[in-house]
Amino acid sequence: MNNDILTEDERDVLQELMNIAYGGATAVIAEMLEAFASLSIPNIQVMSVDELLKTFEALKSTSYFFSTQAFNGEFSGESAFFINEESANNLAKHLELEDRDDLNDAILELTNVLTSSLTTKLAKELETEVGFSLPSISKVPLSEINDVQTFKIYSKVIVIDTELNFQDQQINGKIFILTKDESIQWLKIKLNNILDDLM
Amino acid sequence: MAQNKTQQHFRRLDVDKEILSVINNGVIILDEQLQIHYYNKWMQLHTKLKEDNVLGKKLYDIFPTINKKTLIRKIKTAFKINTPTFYAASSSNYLIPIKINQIKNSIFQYMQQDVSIIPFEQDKQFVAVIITDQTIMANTNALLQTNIQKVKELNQALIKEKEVTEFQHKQLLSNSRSAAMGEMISMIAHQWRQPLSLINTLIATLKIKKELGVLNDTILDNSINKIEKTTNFLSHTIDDFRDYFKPNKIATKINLFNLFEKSLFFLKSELKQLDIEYTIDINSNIYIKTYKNELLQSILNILKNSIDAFKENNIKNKKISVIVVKNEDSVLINIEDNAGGIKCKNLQQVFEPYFSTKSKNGTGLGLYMCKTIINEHLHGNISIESDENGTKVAILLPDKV
Repeated sequence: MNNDILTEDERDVLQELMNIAYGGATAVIAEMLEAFASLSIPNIQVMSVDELLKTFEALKSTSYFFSTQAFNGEFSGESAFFINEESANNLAKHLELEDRDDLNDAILELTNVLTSSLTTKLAKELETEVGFSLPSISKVPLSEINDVQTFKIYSKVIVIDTELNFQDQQINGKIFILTKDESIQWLKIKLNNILDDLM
Repeated sequence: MAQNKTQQHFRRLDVDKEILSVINNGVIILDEQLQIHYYNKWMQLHTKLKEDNVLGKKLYDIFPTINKKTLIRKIKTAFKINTPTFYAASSSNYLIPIKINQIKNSIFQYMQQDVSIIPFEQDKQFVAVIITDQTIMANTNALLQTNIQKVKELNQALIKEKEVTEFQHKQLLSNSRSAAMGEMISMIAHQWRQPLSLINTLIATLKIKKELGVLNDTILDNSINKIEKTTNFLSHTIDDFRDYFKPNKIATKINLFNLFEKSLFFLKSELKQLDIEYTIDINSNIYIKTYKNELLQSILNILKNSIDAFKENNIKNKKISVIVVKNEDSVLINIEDNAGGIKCKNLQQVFEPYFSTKSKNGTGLGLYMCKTIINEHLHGNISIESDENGTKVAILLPDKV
């Protein structure tokens, strides 16, 4: 068993679990924002942090609101949510927000909802619990993304990314669920338990 | 047994309550309509409101600054996702307005708060609102932001400064080239004075002889030959100067004896005119690999300085002496004069650009250029010492650049 990388079977199981999780998340967000929202089917990849930073760069918008939130427990890690300036402004309009602080707050809330609903659902399927830290936000010019220290603590990450779309409001963002090294080990064991049950 | 279990249960509840009343966080229990069901001691102390005065009341009635819509949305969302929702001090500043009295916290008037809204799982009726004081952290952050801004500004200024310096350096180089050109022209002028006057004299003589009717073919041929020889010399001088003032692109092996002979050739008319004794003590087979013209320019510059110093000071027995010593992998060139020396206060500045003590025609770039060439181009070193008798310049060069 390779220590870093998920086997095809493991990835399939994780994909299935994520499919269940993202369905629930979509419903919560739609209700919270009173708008028709959709999440794309989560895409699961294992990559190095360097590759991850390149993925962020590939988002190609010049300026992003970028928020992160840590989650803890047997399944622990961090989520990173990107929303470009245009989408953020549309979100502000939709929520009738008055100033920049309100917008930051709304983005944090969106981050929290996405992180919570995606990870709690997943954790439940994996028979564990997660706790959440306060999310934090910064507006980062993409050219400075390499300076974001927060990801440097990971060596390999499982990246679960999904796109959030509000069709009528033209709001879209991208969320990455990143899991730490030891969590990958834990996750592999859990996924294999599920696989054994299926056999 | 059953009673025992009940007792344990009660005791645990007491512990929970005790902790809630002493904990260093604000705790409020609310329902979805924002009615207050619990208000812990921390809240009572910080808001100066007794529990009895707030229980059963709506939170927004007590604190009218609260955005009702947002708070209700957060509570509903917390129920929906069954995990906490938050207000972060970094973006929302605070939920409950609590004035701070500490003078130290000068940036904020109100306590900065992180707020977690935690749903009670079973009945989905109540949430616990937990408030954490983050003022110190927020202060530190604000300070950090100011400092980051300052560093950015300083960095900008530095980049600008660098651009200016680079521009000035370029300008300096171009000025140096002009100065070198000026030196060259003045040397050519000295070289030309005598041959030109020779030509002049020859022509004048021819004219007189013709008028007197004594001009014959032999005299004419002789004179024309002399004039031809002299103009050839003039033209040769120009070529020589041009060759030596072109920068070398590649280092070549040169004989230092020949180089100093050349320096003598360029300066001899001026040395003669001022009656300066010029001695060179050098072994005729010292070779080094370097940029010939750059080295010659530097040496000429130093020798010119000595000559100029003699013009300003009236000295008997004027002398310039050069001694070249070969070491294992370097060469030391000493150029010494007895022209009266450099004033002590000026000595430290002689290598700085635009520093000149010459009464006229001093660009202040000569020695600066020498130092730049010797240090950066020839990878050598130049030093200068002086007393009231004279000045001694030492140039140390590697035998291979």
